[in-house]
Amino acid sequence: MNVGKAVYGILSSTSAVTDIVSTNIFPEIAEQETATPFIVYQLQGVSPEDTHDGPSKLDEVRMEIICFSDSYNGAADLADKVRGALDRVSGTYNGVNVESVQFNNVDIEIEYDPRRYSQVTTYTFRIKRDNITIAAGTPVTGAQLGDLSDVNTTGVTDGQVIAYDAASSVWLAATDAGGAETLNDLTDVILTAPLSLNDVIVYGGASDRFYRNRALNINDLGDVNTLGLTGDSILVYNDSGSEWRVIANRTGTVEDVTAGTGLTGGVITDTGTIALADTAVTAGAYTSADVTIDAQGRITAAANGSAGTFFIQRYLSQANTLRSGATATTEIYFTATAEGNGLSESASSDTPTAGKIINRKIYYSETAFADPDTGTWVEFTPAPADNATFATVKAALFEYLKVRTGGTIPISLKQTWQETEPSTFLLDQSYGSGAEAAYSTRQLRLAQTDCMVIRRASDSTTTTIGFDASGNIDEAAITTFCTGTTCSVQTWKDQSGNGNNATQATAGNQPVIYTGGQLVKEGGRLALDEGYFAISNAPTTASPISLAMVAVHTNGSNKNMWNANEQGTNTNYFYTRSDANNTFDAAIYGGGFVRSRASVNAGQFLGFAEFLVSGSNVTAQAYADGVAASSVSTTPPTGIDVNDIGQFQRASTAFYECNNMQELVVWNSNKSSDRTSIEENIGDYFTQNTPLLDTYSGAAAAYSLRLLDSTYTGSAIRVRRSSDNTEQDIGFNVFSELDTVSLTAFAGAGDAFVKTWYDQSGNSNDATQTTTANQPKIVSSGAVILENGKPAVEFTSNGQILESTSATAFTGVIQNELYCVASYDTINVGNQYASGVKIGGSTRGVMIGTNSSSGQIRYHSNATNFETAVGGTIVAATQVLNGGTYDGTTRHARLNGASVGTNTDAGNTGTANLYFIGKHPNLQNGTSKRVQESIIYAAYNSNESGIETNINTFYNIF
Amino acid sequence: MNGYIIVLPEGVLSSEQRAERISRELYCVTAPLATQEPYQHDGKVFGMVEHPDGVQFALQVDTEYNIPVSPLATLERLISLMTELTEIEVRELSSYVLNSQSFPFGAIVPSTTTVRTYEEMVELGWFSEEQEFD
Repeated sequence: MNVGKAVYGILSSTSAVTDIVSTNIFPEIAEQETATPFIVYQLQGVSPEDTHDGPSKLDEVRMEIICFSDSYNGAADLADKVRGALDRVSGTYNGVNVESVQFNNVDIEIEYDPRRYSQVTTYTFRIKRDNITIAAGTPVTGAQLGDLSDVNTTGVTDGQVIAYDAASSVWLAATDAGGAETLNDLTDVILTAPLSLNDVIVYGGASDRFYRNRALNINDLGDVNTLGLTGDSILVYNDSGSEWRVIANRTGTVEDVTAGTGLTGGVITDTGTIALADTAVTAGAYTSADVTIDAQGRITAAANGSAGTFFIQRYLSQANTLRSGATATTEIYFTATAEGNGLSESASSDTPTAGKIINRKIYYSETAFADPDTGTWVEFTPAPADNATFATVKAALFEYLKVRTGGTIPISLKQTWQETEPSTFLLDQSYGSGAEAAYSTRQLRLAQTDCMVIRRASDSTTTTIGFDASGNIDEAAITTFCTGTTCSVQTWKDQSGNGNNATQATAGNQPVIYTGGQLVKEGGRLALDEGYFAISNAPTTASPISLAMVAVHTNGSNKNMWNANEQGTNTNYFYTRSDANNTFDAAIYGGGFVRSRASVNAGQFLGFAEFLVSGSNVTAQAYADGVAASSVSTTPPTGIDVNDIGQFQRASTAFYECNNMQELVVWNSNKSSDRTSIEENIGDYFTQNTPLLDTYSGAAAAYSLRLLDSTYTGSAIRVRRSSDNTEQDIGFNVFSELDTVSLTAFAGAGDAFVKTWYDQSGNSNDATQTTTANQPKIVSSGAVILENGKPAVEFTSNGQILESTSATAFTGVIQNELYCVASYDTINVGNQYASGVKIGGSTRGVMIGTNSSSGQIRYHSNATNFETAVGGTIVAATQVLNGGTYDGTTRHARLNGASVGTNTDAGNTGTANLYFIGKHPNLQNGTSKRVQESIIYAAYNSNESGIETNINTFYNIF
Repeated sequence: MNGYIIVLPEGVLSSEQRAERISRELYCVTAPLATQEPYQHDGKVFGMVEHPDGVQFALQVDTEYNIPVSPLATLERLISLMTELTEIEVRELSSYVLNSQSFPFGAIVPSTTTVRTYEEMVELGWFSEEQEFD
């Protein structure tokens, strides 16, 4: 009976008990003289639970545990700790399998001498007898493996084995079948994860084991012998040895073959065919073949040649002498007699120099050995096209030779070459070509030589006037012919090539072009004053019609400028007119006239009109300075053939067509898609405005009512109309001048003021005024304010000013150039500055205007003192070109293109604050003035002459 | 006539704020707020000048400056800023303005308001007169 071992094991391992009794725990009786406290445990009895077929597997054992102490409380405390250690415990203690312990009872006993107290507690221990001892020779039946104390078969399944678990010293149901299930379970196999497809295992390495993916050499293979292996070796199979053996040093192995030029079939890496590629030549026989041979010597092109043209070159040296000795660049010279011929060639370039074109011409002469310069030569017409190649022109020349050598000899041929400027004339351009009639005071076609026939009043003598080298009408010739008298135009030549000359036989009706010792001009170009023409040879077909003209509009006046009559009648069914309603009209008669009306202002304008036919209907569309009016349509009365119009003829004595007309071009075609290009061509010529900054770039600020830079795409000004304070940007028209049509349309009948004058220099120094009372005026009661015929910004004496927020590009600059087109209404009332740069916080600056009391130009160019250049004489209310330059040494005040005063005081400009127009921000309200242009350079470039010429060309100031 | 109107502070409005609002409301007579494009939201008719003390402001006015009247114009905000107007002047002003297509600014200047010249402003210390030398 081992229950006592369990009791001792439990109590001696319970610290709550040993803390009191240490190891004084005794079976049955305590040792002699043992000091209290201590414990004695005693077996009281056993109740085995026998079974029918074997010994008891569970004993119930009653035990007494006696707890001794010197005090009652000590005994009680000890008994309590013992109960805590024993009651309801289960497990194996000291090899005894305790299923359970049950506390049964307690009693108190007292001993005397010495006095001791003991609590006698009783417990029932249920002891499992798993490790029962089986008598030898005694058959054991009924016992199961799980009954053994070191075996745990809980949860065992079918086929499962048990394995010993050293950690718990118990045999447990194994997690697998108990044997090696995978290669890696074998002790001599090391397979490290991860495994992958086609892994192999090889033997070797440390510990004589099999490993995964050990690096293999080809020599590891049983039928490979790498003896003698060196670089560039290959393996070759040896039949006799039944193994692969090394063949060393096999260098230069061909890996692939690529087909070269003219071959097909590559790239070949194994087997294949490389063949000659076909050329463009068709297999066959050729006569007098013209062939092309490539660098490999193959014929790549072949064609039958020209049989019958051949040169025996008997006169080659003579031909060379004549060709090379010619004055003009002569590329080909050929001469032939009955005895033989000679051909000399020297091709010039087929590529023209930038901006030029190549003109080749070909000639023949009915004489052998004709001198290229003095012989009688006939030019082939039409001439070859511009930029036709040497070969092309030569082919044409020899085509002629082929014909002529059929019988007519002797003969000489030559081909010349020259480079010329391309034509910019309107009718030479694709967009302007095909005119039915074209009249102008400029050259419209390169081939045109005559402009007009003029008649002088003094003797009625006439002369034909042509063009100067720049394509302008030859004004010098007119002046020479007309000096001392008046000249008028008798015939305005049609430059279209159709011979539709406009004529006026009656002297009194001829437009005047020279009177009072001066040429009649508009915008700097010759113009035809009032008068009219008729076309002697009117076109017979004219549907549709497009028309462009440059003339002058006079407010409140009707000027029929082109009438289209039905053939044989004197009734104008279609016309264009500068109308008293301040419009340019394109009108159609349909039992009454309907008109497409484009607004125009007084002065030079560019009109464009279209008359398009659709069935029996005609639509008219007018444009003025590139701005379209609403179109109108109507059906002319029955009997009028709309395909039979197109005369340029005055119909009524009440109207005069040429109101300073300068150009009229009529196309019997729809030019709608070319209109913009045509307008630009015309506008570029008649505007007289060469954008100043295109030539004189680098301005710090540039304000103008004309376009100053052809690359500038912004507006000229932003205006506010008085009626509702609405604002709008105003740009430029086709003449690159202020779009006054849009301006007046926006302003209506009221006033318009400039809120922003945009800087065209590219520096974004826009000059602005947000306070409405301080904004200068540009439209007054519906009319654009003009100065010398050009729009102007009017600053009154009430302090109007436009100013930028900064003065970019002017900081720290000493040298400068200033130009300003202005008109001062009042002078001698203090220093009045029209424009400039404010410097510092006071009244200093770099600026130009009038002097306080002398009416002179005043150029102020200093930040710290008032060093000024003064001179000249300004007339009140007269347009002037103010200027000022400072080269770092000398200040020049400039007036109308000349230096009128100097100053050499030292001084620097300092740092600029802002650009201003109208008045200096820190000076009191100035007198009223008009400003049209202000250009400021933050450097001195010695360009004053060119700049002032450009400005004066446009404004016609002096 | 060009001149200056010294604008006194009124209520919570400083001199500068009141001057600016008067100029703004004059602009709105021509272009009422409801009809304005974004670029008109800062529009003003007259500029301002600042006294060296940094506190007083004056409108730089032109009494002949013509102010068109929009059919949609209202005067309440302008009149509320012009406290110098008497009740009679308010009625007359409203009637006059709203029945006109335009009016010169001088026509609505209160009778008690003084339009000062540049020289007077110099005497009052508004400007430190700086002249150019010849």
